[in-house]
Amino acid sequence: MKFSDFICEKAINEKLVAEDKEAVIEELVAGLVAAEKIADDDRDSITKAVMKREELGSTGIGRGVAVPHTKHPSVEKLVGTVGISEEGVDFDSLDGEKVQLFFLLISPPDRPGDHLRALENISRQLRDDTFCKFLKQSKSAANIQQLLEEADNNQFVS
Amino acid sequence: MLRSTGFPIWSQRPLPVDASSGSDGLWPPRSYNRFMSEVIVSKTVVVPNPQGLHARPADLFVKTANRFAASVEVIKDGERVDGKSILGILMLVAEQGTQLFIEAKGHDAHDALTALVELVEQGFEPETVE
Repeated sequence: MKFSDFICEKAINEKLVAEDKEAVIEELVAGLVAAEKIADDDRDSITKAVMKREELGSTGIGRGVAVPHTKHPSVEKLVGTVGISEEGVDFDSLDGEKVQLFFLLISPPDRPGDHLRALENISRQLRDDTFCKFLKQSKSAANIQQLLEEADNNQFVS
Repeated sequence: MLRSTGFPIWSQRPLPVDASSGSDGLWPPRSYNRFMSEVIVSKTVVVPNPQGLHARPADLFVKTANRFAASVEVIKDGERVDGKSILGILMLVAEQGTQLFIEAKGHDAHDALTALVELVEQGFEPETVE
């Protein structure tokens, strides 16, 4: 699975202003609402579901990256977005580091395979230090989109 | 699985072990530890839970692996990843029914492998609502 299969370009947020976990999730969800990938009515319920998942264990997987996610019946296919926080947000990460790079994933409840393949793509690409560093330093949504496209074209992974 | 582990080939095969010896069925048996400081044990497990090895199970797997000094590697379809890295585990796309070959190496490899096999086989604890 490629980034272009699930990352919604319009929802990318390169300047997250939130300073805590819940606010950053709200901000990422708001991006998907603005991009009309999820309905405004589902905003609260999705945010709550993502927070509930975080309570089971942080999705901050280290390297300054978090993959907050949930299953939600309102989506028919996997949708996701990317957010960058320059300052970093305390996300109770597994390695204790602040998180600068967020991948929010909302998947339909009956498609666990797609969710796994999205996680696989993210973790595989993030093993590349250059990609990870460039992404965190991105200043514009277009810049992020370009990096994701390059990753999709295997320009980072040998 | 053709990669040499530096051990004679017989040491890598799960030979039948005398059940009366109180063995956990892993090969080489625990008593082997007396002779070798570096023990390599391995076992194939099947991912039982419907959601597969997603982020939380991967986290549990890595946390369990990190309780031990032994190095842990997981192999699926020839792809070998570090069992102590969540990015590594998530790269496997281990859906329900996937066979994973877990290999532990080090003086506490037996305990590490036993703990990991148990974790996988019990489905990473009961699935909760996500």
